[in-house]
Amino acid sequence: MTSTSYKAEQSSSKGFILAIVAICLLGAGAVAFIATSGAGSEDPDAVEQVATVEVDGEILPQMVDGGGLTTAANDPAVGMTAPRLVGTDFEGNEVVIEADGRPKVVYFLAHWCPHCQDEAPRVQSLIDSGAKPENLDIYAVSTSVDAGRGNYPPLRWLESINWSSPVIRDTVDSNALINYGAGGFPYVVYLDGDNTVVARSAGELAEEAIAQSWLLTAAATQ
Amino acid sequence: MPVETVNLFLALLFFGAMAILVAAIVLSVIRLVTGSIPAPVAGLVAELRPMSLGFAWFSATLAMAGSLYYSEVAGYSPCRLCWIQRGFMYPSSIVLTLALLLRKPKLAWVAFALSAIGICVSVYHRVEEQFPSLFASSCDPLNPCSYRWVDTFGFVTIPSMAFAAFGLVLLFVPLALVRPKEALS
Repeated sequence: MTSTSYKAEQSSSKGFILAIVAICLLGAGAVAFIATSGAGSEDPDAVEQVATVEVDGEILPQMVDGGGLTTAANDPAVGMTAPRLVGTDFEGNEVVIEADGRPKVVYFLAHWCPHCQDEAPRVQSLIDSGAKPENLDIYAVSTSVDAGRGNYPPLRWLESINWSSPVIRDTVDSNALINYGAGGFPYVVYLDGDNTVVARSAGELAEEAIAQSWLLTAAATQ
Repeated sequence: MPVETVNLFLALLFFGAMAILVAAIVLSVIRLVTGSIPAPVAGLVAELRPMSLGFAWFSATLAMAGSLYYSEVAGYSPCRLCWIQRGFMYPSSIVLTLALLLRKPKLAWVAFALSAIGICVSVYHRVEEQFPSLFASSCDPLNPCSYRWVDTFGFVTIPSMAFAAFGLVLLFVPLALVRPKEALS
């Protein structure tokens, strides 16, 4: 084979390989375009996933993540009075977290957070099994809502896990979360009947630890 | 262009990249065991060899473009591990560009070294996405690394795609620069 014919053959095989690569890229682009051409349409009846929340009181210091429940020894928020929250649930009904004489556990949940997705069903399962003390109220604050993130909308997610406790829709800027100290999700604030912080936790807890935290909170108001 | 379209396009390229990487591993094993690979495949590899630096450049550059698309157009915030992978992917693309433009192919070894570290970060990130409880019990309210901004088909995530791109650089750079034993003899 002469050097000219070898170069011509090499050039034609190079062109062939590049053509195959280009066809694969164009094919992938075409498939992606056609398969997603109907995507992105919004549900016109979608419920608003964020709402205004009235916050009244002193902001809690930011929670530093740690294992388990905090105490007065390691958390400056313990002993402080948490702000009064007046918000609405997904149906527009008013939900208030205030000093009403009943201890409360407030779960700040983000729909996209994998730890919240694990924790919330555990909480619901404990409620269903009767582990929640009679005098204790459980609340959720649906916060850090982002339509661009997964598991949206939070209403559909909470319905899918049969979440039964009152929910406050946080503001678009997560105002309730920030005023309550914004720890890592799931972020939980345990309050006595005077809305005083008994403890806080940031992160998943095992079922036994959740049940224990409820007993501790309920016992703080007796 | 909608994000879903880009996600699907990149996921299809991911499958192509993984098919190439798996084929390369299988061929390497065959060669290791039998001492040679089938003649038609060897011929194809020989044809690919002169172009493989270009393919390595294309992989790294497409990964860089995809990463910039996700942060600057789609508005996804890169997490800490994403930034680390960017720190290895972007220079790989630049070094491979220089290697091609300046006709100094040996520069591509720098991209190879960067990709070797980058792919380890991608594996770590992918494991954290898959098993978030192994690494932490909570999500950073702003931007946890366990959160999957992209999750096409339930497993093609951003670090998965970074893994494929780093893997292609790790495959194509030696293919371009290491002369086969037959050619040396």
